[in-house]
Amino acid sequence: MIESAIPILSILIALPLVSAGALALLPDPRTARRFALAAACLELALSLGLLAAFDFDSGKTQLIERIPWIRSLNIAYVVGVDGLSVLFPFLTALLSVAVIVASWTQIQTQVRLYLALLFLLESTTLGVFCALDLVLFFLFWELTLIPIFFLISLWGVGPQRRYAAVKYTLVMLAGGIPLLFGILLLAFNHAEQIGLPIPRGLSFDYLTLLHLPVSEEFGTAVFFLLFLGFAVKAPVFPCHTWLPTVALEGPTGLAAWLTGFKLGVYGILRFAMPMVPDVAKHYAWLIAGLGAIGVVYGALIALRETNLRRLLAYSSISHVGFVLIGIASLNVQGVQGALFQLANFGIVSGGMFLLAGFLHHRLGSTDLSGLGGAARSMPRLASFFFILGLAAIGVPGTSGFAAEHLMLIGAFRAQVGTGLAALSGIVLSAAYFLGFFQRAFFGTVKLETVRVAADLRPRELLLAAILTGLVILNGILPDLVTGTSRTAVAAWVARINSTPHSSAYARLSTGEPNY
Amino acid sequence: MSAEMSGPVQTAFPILGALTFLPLLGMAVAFFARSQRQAFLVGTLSAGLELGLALYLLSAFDADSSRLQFTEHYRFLSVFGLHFGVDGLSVLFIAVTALLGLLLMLYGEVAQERSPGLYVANLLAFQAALMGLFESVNLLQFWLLSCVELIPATAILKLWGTHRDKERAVALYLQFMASGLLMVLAGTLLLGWNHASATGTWSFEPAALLRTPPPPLLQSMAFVLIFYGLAIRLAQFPFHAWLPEISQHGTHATLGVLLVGAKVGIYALLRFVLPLLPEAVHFFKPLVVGLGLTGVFYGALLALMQLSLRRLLAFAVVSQTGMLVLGIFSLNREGLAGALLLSVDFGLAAAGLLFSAGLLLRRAGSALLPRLGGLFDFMPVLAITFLISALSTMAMPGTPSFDAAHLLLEGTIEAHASGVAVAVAAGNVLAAAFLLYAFQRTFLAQRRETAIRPVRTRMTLPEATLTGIVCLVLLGMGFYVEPWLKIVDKSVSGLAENFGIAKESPPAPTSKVR
Repeated sequence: MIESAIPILSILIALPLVSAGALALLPDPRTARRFALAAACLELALSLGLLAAFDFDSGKTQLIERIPWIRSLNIAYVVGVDGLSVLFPFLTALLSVAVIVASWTQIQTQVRLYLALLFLLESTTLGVFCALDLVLFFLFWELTLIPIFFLISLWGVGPQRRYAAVKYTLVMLAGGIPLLFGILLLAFNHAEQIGLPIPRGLSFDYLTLLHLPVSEEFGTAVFFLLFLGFAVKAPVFPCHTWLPTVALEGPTGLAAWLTGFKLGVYGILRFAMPMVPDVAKHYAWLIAGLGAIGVVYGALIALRETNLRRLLAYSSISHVGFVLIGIASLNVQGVQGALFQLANFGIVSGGMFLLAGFLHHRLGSTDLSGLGGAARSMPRLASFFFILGLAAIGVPGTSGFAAEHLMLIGAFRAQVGTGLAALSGIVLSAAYFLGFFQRAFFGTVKLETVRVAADLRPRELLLAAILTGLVILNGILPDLVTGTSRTAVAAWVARINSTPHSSAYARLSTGEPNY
Repeated sequence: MSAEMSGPVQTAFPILGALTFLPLLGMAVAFFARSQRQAFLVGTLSAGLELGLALYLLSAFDADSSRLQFTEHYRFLSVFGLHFGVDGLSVLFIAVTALLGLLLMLYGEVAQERSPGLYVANLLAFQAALMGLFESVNLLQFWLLSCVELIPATAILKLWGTHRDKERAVALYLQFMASGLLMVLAGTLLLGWNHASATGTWSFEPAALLRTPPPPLLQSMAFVLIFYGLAIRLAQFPFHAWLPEISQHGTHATLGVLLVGAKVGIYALLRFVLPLLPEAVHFFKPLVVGLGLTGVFYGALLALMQLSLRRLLAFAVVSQTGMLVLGIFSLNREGLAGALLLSVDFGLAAAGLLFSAGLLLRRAGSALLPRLGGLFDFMPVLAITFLISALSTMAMPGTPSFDAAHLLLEGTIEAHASGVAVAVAAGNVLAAAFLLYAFQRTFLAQRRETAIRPVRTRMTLPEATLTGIVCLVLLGMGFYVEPWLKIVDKSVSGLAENFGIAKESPPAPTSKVR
């Protein structure tokens, strides 16, 4: 275990909070925006520092900070990162800079509160990625709800925004219950295994619990509780209905955030599966099955959508299914690809939603009826949107290709059926994206608003260019991303596959591990 | 340290007596106040001193002992005595009562002009009665003080109630309370009589009553009488009908804060019912758990249907009470500690909700949700106070209730089937539903045609202090629950040991799952 000298993770988590507090002192919206951008850039620089301080050759958890918090329940403030999570603080910082830049002129009311809530969301999201104590994780997990509730209900662009805010919060709170119970069961299991009475024997420490076997029936309960909790947030197929609502009613910056960071999938990868590896392996078919349904279902619905924001939401659901298939393949390629795709979402889905936001800001609508021929007046916006769209489809040369390619290899090696489902997802995604793009951006200009719409301003242009640049860079040099997680993914896969009593079914359905 | 603890700890300075009599003194002075200003000055001084005393008690309190501390005996006329003492079960309640007293003075609600000091005097009398209740370790004394508590409560309701129908509310309140008190009295006398028939002397000290455990039938009778008597005071479903009425017709915040902010019923359950009637507690556990569960959902569902913010908050309390009772009847250390901490937190959170609703009503003039809306711009501080209290009520992580609810759930999983725990958690989501709904309707929703346009008024200094204290205490306690847990831990463990037969075997949940 490597303890860090400078508490860089705590600084990363605390800095947005401090910035949010400092915003209270800046009554002028213009100053507030500039200050927020500066603070977000500082955070981005710090997150680059984190990448520099991280040792990519080691598969271990690093930069751990541990402070006792509630001693009598053995709850501590523990943060740390490993190869699975180290990219996400950077992406979080990057996307928050992007959201602040993108909403520069879109948000005109209560600017300070908006920015403060954005910082709060950034801080809690960072906490979710870094927390290594399950109660601390749950704390950050639930605290993300407060800024999201306000962001949707105060700055949502749709008329039903308040309904959307309550719907989102209630669905998430309901999803929090199984999560909490799963965490409690893990702690109980720890007490039982080491044979101490309940309050003293409890442990919520991720690294401790990871090394403790969980009894089979207990393990099944833990797995399903955690999986359910994370599936709601992801969103995995039957629990997905909140995402289209929020994407349509909420502010586009937040929609970019929610589709950019699949906290639920991260939770499945980080907690639900490694905690109970043999159960996870046993039920890998279930994860893959839900993923396969999600891929096809999301894509089919997206094919029928006429509103860009709903289309992006359903495409996001389809992508989550894809990632689940990758994870459930339980081999290095699949998991590596899934992790790559998770990192990709932050840039690609986030970027597409921000561009959709620019479109909405100009035309007051992202529905087909309000578009048509938009490329004529906004050629730059259209081209950047197109490149990001190609990345979402997974065209070679973009980062999406590398990720989907890896996941497809993994899926075909594990189970041909899920591999085919994933492949059909790619074809369908090309269909819905290109179909919508053609109808929205090409053809004759029907509306006056579209004819006179201004193209991307320099601020927006820079933002889009940076995001697109990253997409292409990662597409040409995928090792930049995969290199950060190689050892961690290998350890993850080995952990899931090397459990002594894995079932025969799992071995059959996943293929033999090859290292 | 254990050597000093051999006998009950007696202190040189009678701090518990002082806590009870200081408000009485303040009351006497307040009666002679010439103006509102003077009266509130006296009240604030007295309540501030009281809070200081309570904080001193909290710091002097020895958390490593499960014994009664600072005990004091007073004898009047050789018949009636007062026996005061605190332990981990009561010391937090005392602190909360003192804090609420000060907050009420800052809130300073007076609807009509009456003799200037009367309102403050009533509040102080109420505070004295509550202090006495939380310090009582004698069953009969507890009952007598419960009767005394009725006097200021009725007076406040009658004199400063804000609704035409308040007479009906007063009658309803008195009927409910009187029947509850009668039941508690009957149960008390039953226990005393049992003691007398065994030893020849009457006593209502728990220590003495413990030496003569009543036979099962008598225990059951006493349990039914005392528990359901207390259930009325707690507003436990199905004995809750008085609470929505008085919160709709009574004062905006004052009475509600005192009646639900300080959870007297929970204290009595922990102090008297659980230790004295262990077998009956076990026997009636399924019934009580059923009622508690029903209460959680019933309260939450009815709260969702209310049009008036005031009634909504009352049903929120009904829902909370169900949860607390469930925690207590898990009868293990985690459940009890969770329920105890949660009742303190819920008390504070309910007070926070009531205060912010009260301050809102003072500006908006209506509590009907359809007539409110879009008030966030007008009163952001109130909105935030309301939200923090609401989050605390729905046990959001980061508020004190989360750690307490977390403990309570652990205890519930251990004691009941985990289905019960799931139901409690689901009930909590419902609580989130109605509170978020209320918050949105009041502060965020589009203002309708019929909605009220409040004048934009600045908060006065006392009001700002009040909201500041509420937010600070809730958030401050939320991120660092350790010291509070330590305070209650020893006493609660002692209590749980009474029911500890089941705990000797390895932890319950795993054995259940296997």
